[in-house]
Amino acid sequence: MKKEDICFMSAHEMTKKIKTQELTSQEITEVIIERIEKINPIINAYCTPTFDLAREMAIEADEIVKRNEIIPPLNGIPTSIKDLVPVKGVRTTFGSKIFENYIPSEDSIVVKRLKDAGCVILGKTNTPEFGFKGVTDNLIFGATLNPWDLEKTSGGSSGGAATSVACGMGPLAQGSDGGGSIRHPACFCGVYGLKPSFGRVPIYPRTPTPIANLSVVGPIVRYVSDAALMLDVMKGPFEGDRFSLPKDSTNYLDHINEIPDKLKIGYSLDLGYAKVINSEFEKAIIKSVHRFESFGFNVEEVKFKELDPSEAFSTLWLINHGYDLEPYFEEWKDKLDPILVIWAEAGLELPASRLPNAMKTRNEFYQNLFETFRQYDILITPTTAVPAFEIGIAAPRNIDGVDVSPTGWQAFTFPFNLTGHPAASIPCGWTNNNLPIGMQIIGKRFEDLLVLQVSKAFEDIAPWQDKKPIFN
Amino acid sequence: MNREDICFMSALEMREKIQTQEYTSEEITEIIIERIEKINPTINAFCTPTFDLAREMAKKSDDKLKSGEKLGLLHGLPTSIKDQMPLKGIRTTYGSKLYENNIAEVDDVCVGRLKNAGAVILGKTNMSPFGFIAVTNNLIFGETLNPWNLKRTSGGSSGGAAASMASGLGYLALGADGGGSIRTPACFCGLYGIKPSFGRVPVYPITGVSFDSLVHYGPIVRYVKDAALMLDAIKGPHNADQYTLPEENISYLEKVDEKPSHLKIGYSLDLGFAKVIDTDVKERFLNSVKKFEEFGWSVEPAKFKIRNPERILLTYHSILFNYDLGSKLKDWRDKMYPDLVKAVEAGVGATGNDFARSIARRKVLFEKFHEYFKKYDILLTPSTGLPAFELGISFPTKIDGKIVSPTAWMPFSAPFNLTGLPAATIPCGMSSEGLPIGLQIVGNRFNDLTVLQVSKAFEEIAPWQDRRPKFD
Repeated sequence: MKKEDICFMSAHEMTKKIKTQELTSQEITEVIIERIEKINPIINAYCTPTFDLAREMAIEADEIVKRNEIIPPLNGIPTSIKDLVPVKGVRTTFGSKIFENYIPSEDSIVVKRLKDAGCVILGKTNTPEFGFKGVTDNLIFGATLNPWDLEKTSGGSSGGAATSVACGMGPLAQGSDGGGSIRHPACFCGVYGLKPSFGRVPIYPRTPTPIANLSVVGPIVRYVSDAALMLDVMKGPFEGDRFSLPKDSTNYLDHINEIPDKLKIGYSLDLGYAKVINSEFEKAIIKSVHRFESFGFNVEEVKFKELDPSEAFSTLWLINHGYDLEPYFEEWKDKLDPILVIWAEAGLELPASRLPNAMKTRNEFYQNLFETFRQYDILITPTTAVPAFEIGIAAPRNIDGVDVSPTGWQAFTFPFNLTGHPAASIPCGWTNNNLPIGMQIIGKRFEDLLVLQVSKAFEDIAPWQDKKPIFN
Repeated sequence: MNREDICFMSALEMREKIQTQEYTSEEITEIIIERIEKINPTINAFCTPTFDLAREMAKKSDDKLKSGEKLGLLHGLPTSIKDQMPLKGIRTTYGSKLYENNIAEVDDVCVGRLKNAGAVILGKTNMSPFGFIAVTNNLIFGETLNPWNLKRTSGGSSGGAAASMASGLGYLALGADGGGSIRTPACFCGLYGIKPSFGRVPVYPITGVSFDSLVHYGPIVRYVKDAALMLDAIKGPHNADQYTLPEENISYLEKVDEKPSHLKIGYSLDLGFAKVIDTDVKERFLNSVKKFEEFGWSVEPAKFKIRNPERILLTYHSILFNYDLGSKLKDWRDKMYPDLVKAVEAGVGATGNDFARSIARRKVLFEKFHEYFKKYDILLTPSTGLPAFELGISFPTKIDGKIVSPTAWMPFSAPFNLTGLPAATIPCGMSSEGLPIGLQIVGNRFNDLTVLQVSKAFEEIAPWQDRRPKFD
């Protein structure tokens, strides 16, 4: 088997090959490490590789197979962890100079679950400081590039995660999403990313940004089945996280190929407030959403009540960062991302009334979706309003000639952090400039499985994995 | 059977008697209405009776039984609704002059579930304005009296619900608890009340944001089994409420008699911060906690290091009430309850960062209980720091002769609104002045059933239902 084929294999297939000893975890791990060593210097996806740890874990995984023990679900699968998530004994920087040399003494709960499931930890993937913006660069490690166009951003904040997966540098990446941070980079890098229902995957410890109950941990992968496989391991209640949901006893992977008989799919190109989207995205989404008709699903456009949740979101976001960073200002201000400082200071200036106002808008926007989901089983939107944009800016301020706010390009993602609905980004086409286009698939509360099933159905008729980024 | 015995029967037993046609719903509804007409003028528990509606519903119940249709869980049982939950077509005031003539256009979700389960709605029960203070008094309907001593308060804010149940004016009462509002009046009136896990019972619709993420709906009843029954009827997810928990697929009623074989129970008289406890309360509490050993459960004192969370709640209240009601002060000040005016004014000038600090402290508080529940299955505390105090005040300024802060008499309630843990109050004795004393039983996240089971076990060895308040 060619090395590249191993690198781009699905995790699900790897688990089978490791189990039957057709391949060992050590072989797979070495091939992927070799690829990371070749390609990572170009794109900067991994900020802290952990190859020694990976090799050790791969040996242990192969031992388990040899000893004929019960094989855990992700035994021997190379996996990356976002640098916002603590891994015991491994530098975890949160993308911030403040934590440049921080070595956690405990695994976060999701890392513990991945380790218990047999994952081989390849390293930490790059993120903007505390995940605060939708592109990936920081003052320690610099920018993560887009594998499809090295002058474009990978998106963020899980940009390192998405890029690593797109480049065949590990089949599974753990991402997190507080405003679109799994979905944007998955969209920009042409991979699949799922933000599960709020609380589906526990977050613990919730450091260092505890305030806004927006953030969710989820998978970024090349195959929809791999998202199910990884989520089956990560999900489930944890008592230390008061927002984690009770046990969902369904195994997603077992049911992923079941395609529901009749589904009503609604789609929206504006969610009732987005001003403009890139015309190539618009065309690709309309074309893609109608492909669901081949399953006998009913597809139609949804009209949303006009309500702009941008201010609600930015209020929570700014106040959160203001509160978290204020204690560090005196010592660290000049070593923080200057935009983060501006945001945090703005957050500290906001009057208290902005928060209840945000809570109110959040409730109202949730009610709009409640109405939508009374009529539809699935909602579809573009993932972002634009394809990957140039490195060096945090947000494009103009889309197809129309001026937009700093959140304009991500108008479709953060609303589902406010509401907690499960939402995935799936590749659905290419721009003329050869950049990936992503379609967002949103389900009702708790219906993560349906989102996965609908994603899998789309993947079956419109697979994207044959196309791989080329590096010279 | 005499009429009083009929009125004080358990909901479960009455359900049985209706189903076996020993009584019709119409007969018992008339008996209860007759008692309300006699006793309510004394205690002021019902603010808006709905006898016409009750009679109509009772008749429908009886017709349904005769025609052999499937019966709801609460078939034919006279039930009251706190004036906080909209009941379609009926005046719903929230205890405020602002809503004195507000006729609800829709049913609250729980009210809808109670109706679907066959409950007969007797009327709305009195509450403090917007549930803000922990005694029941407002400028429309005045004070609700304690049936055990007419010079004492019923507690609040669900004081009407508790006073009605203690007086035999119904079989089930729906209450709401944003800071102790089910548990405090249930304790003062000698009843069982449970605030389930946050999200277990949907809360929709709500007015304003004042109790966002704090309010829980639940039963106030005379028998633990009746709480299980009522919760079975009202619990479960609803898509209109973003925070409801997923389906549990168990019936509490079916399992409430099961006794967990091993339980580690801890108890605390101060949670690490409470300063003063009435001597009778302390003595009855310590006598009661020992009784749990009879089930082979271990019982020991637990140590807490918790900062008094009263400031967290004060910050929430002042900021949120200021947001909801600040603009009303100009025209309504004279018609707003003075304590509420103070709270609204306290929110002036607060910053978003003040709110953020409270949210962060809430997380810290949760983690304290997370640590506790790693070691223990159940926590016991007194329900309140003292028994029912005199009418006419919102809080006692002294306990056992010592000057205390306005929330010092109820230190054990709010922590479980801030953390969302399930918590019940159960009668555990009478004070030397003949007033009920309550024991609080707190469970880990989602362990509502364990709380009910432990409550049921205690009820079996220390039943209280033979004691009834006397009316001349």
